[in-house]
Amino acid sequence: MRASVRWLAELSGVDVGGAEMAERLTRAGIEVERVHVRGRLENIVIAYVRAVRPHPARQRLSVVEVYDGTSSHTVVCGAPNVPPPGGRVVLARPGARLPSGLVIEVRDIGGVRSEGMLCSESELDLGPDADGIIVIGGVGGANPGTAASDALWVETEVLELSVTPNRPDALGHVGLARELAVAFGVPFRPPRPEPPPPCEALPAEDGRHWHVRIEAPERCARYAAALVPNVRVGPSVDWLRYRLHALGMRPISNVVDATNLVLLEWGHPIHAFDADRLEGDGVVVRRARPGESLVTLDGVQRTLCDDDLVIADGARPVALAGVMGGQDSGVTASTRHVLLEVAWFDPRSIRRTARRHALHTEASHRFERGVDRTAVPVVLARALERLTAMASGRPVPSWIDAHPRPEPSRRIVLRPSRARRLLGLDLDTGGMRDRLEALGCTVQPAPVTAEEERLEVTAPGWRPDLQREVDLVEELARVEGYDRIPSSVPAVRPSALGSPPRVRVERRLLEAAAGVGLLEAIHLSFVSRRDLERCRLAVPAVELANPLGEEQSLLRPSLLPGLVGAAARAARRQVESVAFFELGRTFQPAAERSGAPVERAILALLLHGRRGAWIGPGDPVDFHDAAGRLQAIVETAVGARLELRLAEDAEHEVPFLHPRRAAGAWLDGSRVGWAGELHPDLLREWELGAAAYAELDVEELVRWAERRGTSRATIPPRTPAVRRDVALLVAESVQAGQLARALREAAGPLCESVEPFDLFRDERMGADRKSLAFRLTYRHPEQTLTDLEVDAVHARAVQAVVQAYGAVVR
Amino acid sequence: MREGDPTRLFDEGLARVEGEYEAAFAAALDEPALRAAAARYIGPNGELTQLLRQVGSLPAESRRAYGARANTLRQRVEHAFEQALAQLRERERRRALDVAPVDPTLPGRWPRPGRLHPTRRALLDVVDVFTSMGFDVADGPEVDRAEYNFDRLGFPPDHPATDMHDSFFVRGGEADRLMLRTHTSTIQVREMMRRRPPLAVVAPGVVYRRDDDATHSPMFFQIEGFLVDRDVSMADLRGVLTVFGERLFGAGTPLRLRPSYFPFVEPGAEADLGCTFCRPWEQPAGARPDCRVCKGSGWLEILGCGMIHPVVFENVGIDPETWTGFAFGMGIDRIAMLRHGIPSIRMLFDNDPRLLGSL
Repeated sequence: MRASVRWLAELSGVDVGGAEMAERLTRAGIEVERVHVRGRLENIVIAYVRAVRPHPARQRLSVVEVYDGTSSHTVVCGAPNVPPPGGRVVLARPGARLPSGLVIEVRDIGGVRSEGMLCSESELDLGPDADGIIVIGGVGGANPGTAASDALWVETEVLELSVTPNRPDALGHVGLARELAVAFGVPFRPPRPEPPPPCEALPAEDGRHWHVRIEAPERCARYAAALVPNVRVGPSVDWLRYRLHALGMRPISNVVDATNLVLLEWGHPIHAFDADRLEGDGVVVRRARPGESLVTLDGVQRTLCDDDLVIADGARPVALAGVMGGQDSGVTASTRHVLLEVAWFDPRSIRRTARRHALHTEASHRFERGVDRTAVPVVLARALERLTAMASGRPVPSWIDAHPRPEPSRRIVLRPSRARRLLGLDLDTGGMRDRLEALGCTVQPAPVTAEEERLEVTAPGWRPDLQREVDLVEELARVEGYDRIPSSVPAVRPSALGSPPRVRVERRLLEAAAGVGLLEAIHLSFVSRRDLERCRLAVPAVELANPLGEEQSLLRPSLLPGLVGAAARAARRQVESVAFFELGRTFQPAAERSGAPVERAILALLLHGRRGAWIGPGDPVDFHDAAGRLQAIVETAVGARLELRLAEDAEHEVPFLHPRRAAGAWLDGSRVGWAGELHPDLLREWELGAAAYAELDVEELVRWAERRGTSRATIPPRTPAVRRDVALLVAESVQAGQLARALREAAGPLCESVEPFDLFRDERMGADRKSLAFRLTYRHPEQTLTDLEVDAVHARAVQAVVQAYGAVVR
Repeated sequence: MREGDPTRLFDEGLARVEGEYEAAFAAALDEPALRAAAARYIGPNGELTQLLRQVGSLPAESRRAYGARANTLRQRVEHAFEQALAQLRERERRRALDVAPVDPTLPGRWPRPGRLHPTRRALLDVVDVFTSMGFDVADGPEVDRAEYNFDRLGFPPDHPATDMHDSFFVRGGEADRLMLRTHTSTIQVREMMRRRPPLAVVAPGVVYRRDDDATHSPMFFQIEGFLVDRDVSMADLRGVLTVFGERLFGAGTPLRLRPSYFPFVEPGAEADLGCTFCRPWEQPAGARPDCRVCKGSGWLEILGCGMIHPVVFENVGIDPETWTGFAFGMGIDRIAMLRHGIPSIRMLFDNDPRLLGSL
């Protein structure tokens, strides 16, 4: 919404300039985003034409002698409408700066020295007309030398407003002026034109009698119509065209411009029909019949549905009510008689229709926010006044006021003490009353029987947002100024419950993940089908009904695509080694068709390139880098040790991982995640080097942490430990964990731990063979073990794995 | 054995020890060698120790003199050992200290540093401010019903108030009007239905709106906060937000409330903090007209807030006559951008390790 500072000053009597207005309106909750300061037009003056002759060298150019009150200038002009001597034009003298930024200079044009420029409306940004220069008509007024900004109608300051949807009143200058008057504490007296007396039928010159019938009163509470015969359609006067132009509307014709002027003044849309183009003798407000169609003013043929409200004549729909008029019933250059409409349509209905037809218009914008149905007579009277003045119409001295649903009275009880408590502001009751009255409310004290002081407030029609007590409380604060609300820090009562465990676990995971050297990444939750396929994720995903595009059509079922994409982007930017983690939600379609998707918080990590060595390149990352970090994160965060078990059916369970180099991460018998190297096909697809990935189901971890509760301390033993090492040569397929478990079991209760400490491969041992060395720790809880005792147990343990796994002791 | 033999052997023993020990100690190159040398004389089986044990078997008249001589010698050996040990340690200490200086410009021996995302850090910092004031943290689903995102918050049906919340809907979720939440206020509704007042909760999370241009991302972070208790007033709202602004951006950071409209609060307000970039409240000249962060206004629009609308209380079964409260919601990404000078929200979701590693 744009507003003219000049107009606001006229209406409100507050003439403080745009900046101050902007400040005060913004503080009152009507945000002014910008103050446009428009052309000052310095060095641009009115001039007389003294002589006109054709340019000696250039066709279509003329050489014009003009007199600006002090001296003569020769100007070369290309406009087709240079007036004969005596005509008045607008001269930009050398040094003048046009709104476009162009600075006028003395120039040689085809051998003629041109000492300025004769300006069009468009060049001065006054109006849209660029076809010819401004020629000032009429007599009197501007003498040569008068500054153009004094002689012409210039809207020097225009406010660009961002009006919240609860304030339809602020979509018109009258409403804005009222806010200004309240803010500056001056009485507000809007124009109050009186409508003619109402009647049942409007007599037209052709003998018809116009009627209005409302068949859908739930959608149209009020419909006023008046007939303006014998208009003369033509361009509007300059000031009106300039004003509309400055406020972002296109001047069309005096009839349409007059209705738009009233729209901008009152915030109430008005429609003008060409009465001769309506069939029958009346208009009907009704719902469209399914299949009916209408060509709207923008030339688009629209198929209507039963939920669309239309204005129809005797034969067909002639307007999409409250949204846009029909093309073949609108005012044209040849229109003689105008039927004016001022109505109130149901906001919800208008909004649905506007959205359905993707038609956002000045009218729908206001109707869907709610216009003032009590203002219909005044708005109609104002429109008649304007049309009479601007299109020489002589209105039929009556109007039709079809008003099936008067506005229900909104009587709101305000308890001043409640207002004071809610705002923390000490306002006296009398002051409250004054403020509400200034806003247009009527205020009466409630019956004295009430225990508490109460005011009975009736909100004005232009404020549909005032529905209940709390809305009035806001008005009081708004008028008083939010700045006056004091500051007090409340004593927050802490809850016994506190935050859920998940919040704490997630926080610790985040810190632990950063602690093991990972950069946190945060990706959008959207993913494309193609990227899922490129990540070998053949899983169902939640689809959006209205995605922004194919690339963002699904909700991610895994964090992998985001992380792989980030690694690939980094590699393209010459960062070949990265270590990322992400903690975010994944989405899986609900089990039953219509249920909510299953959201799971997942922590995933991706390592790409080489492991950080102290100095030097380091080795390519592998399974153990990912697995180790996952274990470290979980152990740091919740004190749990993940156990990694070779994935048995990796092709199906984790097709994005290398089938031989993937493992499930287990915690107390449940699988809570995965770790592995990324599948070679995936690496090729994304042009990545070595990459390892791990993920963890945070929900499972939270559940585990809750189940476990607080961990119990292990009291360190007092007896000394005895250590024995063994190196075993085994087949490549034998896992360290298997050997360790077998050793531990065979060694019995004296064996406290079995830890691998060396892994060695050598051609001399044969392919598919490896040497694994373990350190076994023996301890008796109460006694000191002797070497002899330990040797016997250890030998038994070693013998057992030698037999079970065909191991050779090295 | 003749009577004179013990004293002679004793003499010889003492003379041998006396003649050897200094050279032996001097020859020891390290502490173990020195201790071994000392043990040869004064250890449990050392020569001098054994001689001392034999004093009792010497003739009575010479016992005293020999005992005194042996003891004196033992003291000298011990003293010499202590001295040699001290010298040796001093030498070792010097050696330990006299090494080439370290090169501290080499990287520390730790694979690579890790970092939390700038948005995450901003989010955790904001959460910390409120938890320190006694607020709990809550979360809720990102895909939620329109009922929680709009209806129970008092958004009128078919109302332009939803224009700011251009929503993503889930295919197949039409029956429940399943959508991606457009704000974290869904959690306000859910928490107020789950728990009874008094309530003090903050709820951070991602939200989604169908905006995608240079200054908007279709996903961004928000934090919702609300306090419900008896007699909570707008002054309390100002107080809590003032503390928040000061904790996050420094003591003295001013807060300004401006009337605004959100369907679920009344009175509703937009809260501005003094521009944290040009800090006009610390400058005699006020806001810098050319400040590119606040565009010369001196204020940054930071959050929307207000007193919880009674209709919201009614929609969740809380009596608005007994309980009042305030709520606020703010974007987190913008705070991260302000803090670190990140020019575009889209950079926050690009995850360029060069950017993330620099923060």
